[in-house]
Amino acid sequence: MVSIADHSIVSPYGIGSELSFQQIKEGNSAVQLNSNSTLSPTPTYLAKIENSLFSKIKVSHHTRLESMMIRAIEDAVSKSRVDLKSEKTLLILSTTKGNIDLLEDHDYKGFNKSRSYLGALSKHIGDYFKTSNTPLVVSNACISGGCALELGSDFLQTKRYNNIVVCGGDVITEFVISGFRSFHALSEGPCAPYDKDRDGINLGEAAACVVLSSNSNSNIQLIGSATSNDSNHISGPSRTGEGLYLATLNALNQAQIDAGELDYISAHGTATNYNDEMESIAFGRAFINETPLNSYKGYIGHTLGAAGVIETILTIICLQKNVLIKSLGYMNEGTSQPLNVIETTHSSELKYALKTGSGFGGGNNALIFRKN
Amino acid sequence: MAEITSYSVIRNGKAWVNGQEVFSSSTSYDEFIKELYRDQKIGYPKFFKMDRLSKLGLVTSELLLSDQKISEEYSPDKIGIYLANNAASLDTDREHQNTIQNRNDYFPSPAIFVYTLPNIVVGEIAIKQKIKGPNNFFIFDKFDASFFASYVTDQMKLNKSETCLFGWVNVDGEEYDSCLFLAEKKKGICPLNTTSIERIYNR
Repeated sequence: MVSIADHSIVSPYGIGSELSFQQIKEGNSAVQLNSNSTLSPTPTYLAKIENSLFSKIKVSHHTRLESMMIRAIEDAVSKSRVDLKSEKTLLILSTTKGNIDLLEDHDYKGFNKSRSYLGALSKHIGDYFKTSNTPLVVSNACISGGCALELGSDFLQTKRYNNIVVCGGDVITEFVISGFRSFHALSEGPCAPYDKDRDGINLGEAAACVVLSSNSNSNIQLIGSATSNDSNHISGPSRTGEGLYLATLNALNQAQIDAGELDYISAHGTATNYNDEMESIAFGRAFINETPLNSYKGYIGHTLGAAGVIETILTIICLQKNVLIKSLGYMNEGTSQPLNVIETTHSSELKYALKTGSGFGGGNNALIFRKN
Repeated sequence: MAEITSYSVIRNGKAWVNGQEVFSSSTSYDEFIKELYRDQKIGYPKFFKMDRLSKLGLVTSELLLSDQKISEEYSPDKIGIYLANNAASLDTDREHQNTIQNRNDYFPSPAIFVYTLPNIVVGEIAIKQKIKGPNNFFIFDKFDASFFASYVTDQMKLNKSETCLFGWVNVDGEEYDSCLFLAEKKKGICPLNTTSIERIYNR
């Protein structure tokens, strides 16, 4: 049995899962127009942690990302009884770009050049918490967070560890903004997942931590997980939704529930034309396109390596509070297969939720959570 | 019990399949990998558009599967790909950073940016080898045989994969090193365990 023992979010809203959830429930978006010219030659809509908040997050002798991840881990672990120093605890870090912001600077922002390697991220966070095991780094594009949770669940099931602490994180950098802009993948305004007029993503910045345990009295369990590859294109989602369809089916299979039992889908919904369309096809093929669905990207942007973890936490809180959150930015149906996009935040009895993600490289991940 | 049924190694200007040297050249990496691609008659023009990491992974996977018929023996969604390395995609990250370092000479390109993720090599292998199974990418300071032995064993035990392509693909400037393994639930070359994986990698 894989339970969610505790969690924490470090986001533009502040430190703590409950704080982020309340802001989202009230409909407040963290996405704002950012005119900082060191980030991009043109103003960009971003969900970025402001300097005043970051000054409270900053951990001395650590980079921006390390500081965010350390705060998320500290907050999640302080509430649960998990011992990070135990040999039976493993810390898993998920990130797409790690300390890539160090490359912007000739002297690596005062750090050693080796700090741009992901092995250094693992070492410095492991040293901070004095972990017995070297933290394991997962870097699998936008599904990194979901894959890290799946990996943690697998390790608990095979009894290699008793507790797994998963922390996902990525920072907003000129590196990533310029790249997505060159792809014409950035929205001109606040992003609008699943909407007819959606025109791309907003990047977000966050760290989020989930503690998985095989010995917890939590009422939320991770009961199914799967990853599949489209085997189609490295930067464009499959036209048939093949990988997401397979991942969803395999996760349902492992969870031993029927597609019709799902009460809620917390989808990837990046608000690019191709991604949202692909999801509609995959969910149509899996016969779950009438299940209430949302994307959190309108609130927190696309947080890359943190996305699977932060959105999992929001999904879990929805299950516990029996609430469905409005998919911000959605106005008019905009996918070839109809979806049941949540248009107003409202109460609803919930038991089973599906969390999905899809990313560059053709990867798709599906996780299924149950509330007891 | 799963066993290693095939392995391939590319490093130091040489390529080996199941311990047998199949190619050798003393040119620099960029020339070497093209020479090896041509020598193996891979015939996959997309190769030339790939970044240096994907080129290495693709050719190593071709060597690994040259005598294998996994696409006939297994359902595509039951073939897993699990890779790891040290430098993630830093080799290409530096190239993308060069395109944005100077505001008077600002030319970020999607053709480069798409390769600034280490798992793109997994995607390239999945497309070429028609694999739709689980996939993941890990970063380690150095090759970790015991991680692969336990993780791949677990994946097969949990029935997430029936066969796994796994191993190391690293490119960092002029340094390159790849070593891929195929694990299947049948009689192979050696058992799937830390000792075998370590011995093959260190040979």
